[in-house]
Amino acid sequence: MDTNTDRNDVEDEEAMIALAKKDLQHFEPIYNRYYESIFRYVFRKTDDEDVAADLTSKVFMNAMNAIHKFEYRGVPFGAWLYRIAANEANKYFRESKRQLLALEDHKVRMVMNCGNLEEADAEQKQKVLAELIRELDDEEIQILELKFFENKNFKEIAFILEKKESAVKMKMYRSLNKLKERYEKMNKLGDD
Amino acid sequence: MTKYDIRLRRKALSKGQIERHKDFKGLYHKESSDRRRGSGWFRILAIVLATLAIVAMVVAGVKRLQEKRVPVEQDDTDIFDEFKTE
Repeated sequence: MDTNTDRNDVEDEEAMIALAKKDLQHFEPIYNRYYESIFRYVFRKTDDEDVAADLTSKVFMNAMNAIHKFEYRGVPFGAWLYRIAANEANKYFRESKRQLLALEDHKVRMVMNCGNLEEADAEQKQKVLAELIRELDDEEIQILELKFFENKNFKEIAFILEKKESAVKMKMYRSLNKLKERYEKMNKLGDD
Repeated sequence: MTKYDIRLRRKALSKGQIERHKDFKGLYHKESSDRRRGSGWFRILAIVLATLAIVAMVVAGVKRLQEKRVPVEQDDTDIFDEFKTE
């Protein structure tokens, strides 16, 4: 769901969740609302359509099992689903010890623009960003992913990653600066 | 340095590709059958525990009764013994 969820949307969602708490058959509108975004998030981490479908089902299954525990605390239900999805993906990768992050064209553009990293060619942009991101730590990547690829606000990111909002903000700006510095260094080396 | 494997992808998945995997009815049935199975196990466990508790209480009660039945040893003292010495 978009970050700019207005009050009506929140109220609608609250009503849907209240109904789903009484009878899980009413969970369907919530499922329809979030399925695509959760699928894309998991797919970006797995790069495998079937695995993404399995994990997404697990996410919604867990959410249905635990919906009675959910309470509104300033973040939409979607953030709670993202938190479950992040945990499921971590569980899945615990054995392989290597997480994936698949960068798509249009998402790359957003990160590059925000970090003032200009590159003319789209393909070149992807390659440069992949190179730069490799140098970041896992948490920095998770924050960038949620901010730019999933359009989450800082409050939601903090909730999903179970961190403080101020810490998330600081880490995000620091990682953008890091990207910028490395990008300049890379360009300088290229010129020389 | 990250443990992430960064991959490049030209195109994102289409909406149609994602819709193909969507199946709320299947998920709902799976969830309710899992819940039933889970509550079935819980019921069996509760019955077993209750039976064990009842058996333990019965055994403890029987033991206590047996302890009570043991005759208290009493000296057969004749109340008139004291007069015998005289």
